[in-house]
Amino acid sequence: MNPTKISASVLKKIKTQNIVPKSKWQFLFKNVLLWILFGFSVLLSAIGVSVIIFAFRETDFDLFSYLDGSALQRFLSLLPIFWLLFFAVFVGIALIGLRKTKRGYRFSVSKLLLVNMVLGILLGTVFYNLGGSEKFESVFANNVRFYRGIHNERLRRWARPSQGRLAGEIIEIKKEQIFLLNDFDQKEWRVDARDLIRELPFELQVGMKIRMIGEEISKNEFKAKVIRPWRMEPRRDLKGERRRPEMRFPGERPMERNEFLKNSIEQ
Amino acid sequence: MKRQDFTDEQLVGKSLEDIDFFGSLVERYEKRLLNYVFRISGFSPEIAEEILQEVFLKVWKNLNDFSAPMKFSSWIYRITHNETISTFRKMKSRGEPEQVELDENLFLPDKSDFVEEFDQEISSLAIKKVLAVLTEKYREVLVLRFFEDKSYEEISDILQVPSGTVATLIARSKNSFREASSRLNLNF
Repeated sequence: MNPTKISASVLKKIKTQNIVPKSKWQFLFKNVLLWILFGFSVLLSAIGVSVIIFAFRETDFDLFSYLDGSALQRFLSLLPIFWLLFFAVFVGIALIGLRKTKRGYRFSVSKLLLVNMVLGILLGTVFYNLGGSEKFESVFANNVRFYRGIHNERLRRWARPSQGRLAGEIIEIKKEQIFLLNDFDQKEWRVDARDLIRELPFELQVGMKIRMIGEEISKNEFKAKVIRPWRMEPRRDLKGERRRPEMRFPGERPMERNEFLKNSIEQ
Repeated sequence: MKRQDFTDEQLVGKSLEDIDFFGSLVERYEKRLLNYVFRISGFSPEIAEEILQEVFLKVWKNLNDFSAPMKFSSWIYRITHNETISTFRKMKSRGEPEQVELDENLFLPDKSDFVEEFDQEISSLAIKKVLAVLTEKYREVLVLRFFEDKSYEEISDILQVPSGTVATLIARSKNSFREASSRLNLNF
């Protein structure tokens, strides 16, 4: 077959088989879908970043030496690994989406990766500052079974008095530096905080939720060495006002907005 | 205005209204693309022609996907490249090597370019032998640059890689070409 025969053969085939070009909308739709995939992935990666920032702000890196296990195990236990993976996966999907767009191949993978990461980090920081990170995390903890396990395990880490870690809500101040506390399982503890090795950065009050590192003296007595508020950072709500963080133990229902405001006023 | 005076992009627009204009587009590219398929694959004329028919059918079906600022020639070369590589891989997986001895004249690049790049006088026979032993990606990029006379931007559009990568690929291909020619004791 020579070239002119190719031309004749192609035209004949198109005409006899009545082959028509695909609609312009079909290509447009595909491209729009890719951009949506990109946008959605950037949004999810930003959510990941906001929770990572939140997790890092909440992590007691200075208490590293009080944790159990080898240095590597302790280090890994402090990292929000799920959210770091979550961020990486969605940055990757955003990258694929962008690469598959019509002109996506013109940019190098490293450039696109950098752009996606910067977008995710910027947007994630905005989410964090708007107070969205806690909400995102609680949505995951309540709805994603796999994540619920990780989330509860992180909380349960503070329900191991025999390993020197205890958390709960102060229910009564007996005298200065001695108080009663209800733990996650509503078990009452008498806590002695007279020999703290780190100065208490706040005044203990009834209703306050705290976590402690120390020593189990008896079945219901705990000697605290370090006391930290359950949540480290006072957060801002969507109106930009500083507020006490909401704290929930495993199984506890989320606080309604009105209930939360009432509690804040009472405090 | 005669059909041969239309630009490729004008012919694409006209083709969507009248298929005969598409015939002009096919005639304009068939010889060039046939040589391109030969150069990058070494396929027999029968297989190369089958590939080309498939290419033109794909171009027709996807004509609405073509849009500026990409050049039509880059777009059709891309489809040809993909179709050739796909056929090459299918045949390789089936254990059907279909490469034949090709006309040496296909490997007569723009002499001045080649001499400038390699600082040597090169015979088409030697070029053909060296290209045959290069890896697929190096052969493709050298063919596009020196035989099809494509710019870096056009090669980027055809191979769907960033322009920076094209520059790197060309530099590596030239090194690979030099190494292969000395390995084969081919003195240009």
